[in-house]
Amino acid sequence: MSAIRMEGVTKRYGEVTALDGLDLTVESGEIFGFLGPNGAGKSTAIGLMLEFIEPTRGTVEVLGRDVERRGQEVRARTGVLPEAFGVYDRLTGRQHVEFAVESKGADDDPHELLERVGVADAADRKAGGYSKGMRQRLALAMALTGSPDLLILDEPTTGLDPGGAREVRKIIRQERDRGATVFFSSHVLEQVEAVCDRVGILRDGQLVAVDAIDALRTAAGGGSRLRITVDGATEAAAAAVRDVAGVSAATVDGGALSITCDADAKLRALNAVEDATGVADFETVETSLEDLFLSYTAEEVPA
Amino acid sequence: MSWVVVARKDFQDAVRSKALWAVTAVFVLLTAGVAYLLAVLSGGTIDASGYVVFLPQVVGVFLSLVALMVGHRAIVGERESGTVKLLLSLPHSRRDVVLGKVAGRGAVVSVATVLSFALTALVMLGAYSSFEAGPFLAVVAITLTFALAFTAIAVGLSASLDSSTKVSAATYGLYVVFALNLWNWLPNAVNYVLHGDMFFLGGEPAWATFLTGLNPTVAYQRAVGGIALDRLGDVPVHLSAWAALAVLVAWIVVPLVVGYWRFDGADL
Repeated sequence: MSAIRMEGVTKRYGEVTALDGLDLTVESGEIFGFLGPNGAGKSTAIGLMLEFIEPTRGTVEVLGRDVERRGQEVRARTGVLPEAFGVYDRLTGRQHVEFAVESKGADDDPHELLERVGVADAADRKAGGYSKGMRQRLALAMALTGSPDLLILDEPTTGLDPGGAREVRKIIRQERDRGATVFFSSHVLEQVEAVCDRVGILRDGQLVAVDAIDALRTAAGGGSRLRITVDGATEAAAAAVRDVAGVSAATVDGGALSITCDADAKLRALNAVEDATGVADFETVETSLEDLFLSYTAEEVPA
Repeated sequence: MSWVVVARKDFQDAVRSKALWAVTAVFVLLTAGVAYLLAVLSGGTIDASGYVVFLPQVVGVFLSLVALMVGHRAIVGERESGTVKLLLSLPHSRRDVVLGKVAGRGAVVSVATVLSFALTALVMLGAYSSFEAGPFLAVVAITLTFALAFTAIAVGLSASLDSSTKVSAATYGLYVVFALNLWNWLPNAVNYVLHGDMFFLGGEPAWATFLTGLNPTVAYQRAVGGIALDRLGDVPVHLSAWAALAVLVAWIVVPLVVGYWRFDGADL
């Protein structure tokens, strides 16, 4: 059974289309990273999974249940860290978690949960005085209540320092190892790369890629970029390299040629340059995640 | 019973509001103070029924305001602060939220009401020539229904609209209509539309009296007058005290149903 299944989901707000025929499947037991620039529709998609909003068209199934009809059952087995949430200013951190425990009919010890997310020492302070990071941790503790089958975390590392983000990733892995499915959204690539089994990239309300991150890297960048410093970088040399099988681009860049090619075409490209003008030096540059991300989310690259 | 969990949390949250306690304190002191003042002014000769006649006027104006103040941010406040996302991430339905909210805020208003009547009863026992528990308790019961009606109106509006500015405008607008009884002009408006005449020249027809009685503040006074004091005399069923009580119950149910329907269809 899939943990999350969205089929042909469209959400319009008046004239604005937030999601446009989104198909998305998240398998049980995986950590799925939901990646996309701000405004791509990530929070809309998550809102649909939680019954916060109703789809204009399409079906949303979470844990095998139709969300529109059985949303309450879904949320009984799901832990949620929502985006742009608020805390009850007048209630303490402990009271927040107690509320989650009661709501889910769980038997967790609120103190243990608060300890796990690192706000136990502020448990009896009113949450209105918490910092952004502490609020985020508090909501994570509420999400972990009742050992849910699915965790939906919307930008979970917002407001956390790098140490805090590392702790959250550790908890995400622990939860996956316990058997839970983790769905988490981010616009920060490093967060996703460090922890996800698979990622989906959302752009303008559509999923433009879904795969393991290494596979995406290969698909997006053709694997490698080669930078060759030459004796005389001419357009003719660049043209000669472009003819080599496996080379997708070659441009003149100062005293060097910048070449994008498949990993196994590097040597052939190098030989072609040697024949044309002579090679002074070269280096290979792996496609960075930033490039990967941009290649999927920038307008000019087709999906 | 998911709504009970919501209600308990909401009560926990609301009782920590200093503003609510200030409003409650003013209300309690006001009702008990009026009771005491009447005793002093009458030189100790007043009996409880004299006060109970007077009470609905005082309570009607102030308790409705307290209930509206306590209830009107219940849901829209959570939407604006974003706490509704924490709330609805947990396994609560929107119906649980509306019911839990009206129960939680209703409990706050009920505590204020009971405190104020308890203190009033003490004043009466000490300073009045007589005190009958029966009619007094009937007044308390009807007053709690009245308070719950205004709580439900506030929570219903809070569930229906998406900004606290709109909710405040609607809430306090309604308060003016009910408390100053601008509602009284409704039969005249209806008559004008139907017959081109503002005023009832041959005396007020029964339907107009009934319509006037749909104002919860008026219904409250009729219910107290008829049930606790037996003062309404011989009237047709739809103008009776029990009909007035039914009107109060309708003011609990209808705003909540409308509020739920609107909130259930809203995107957060």
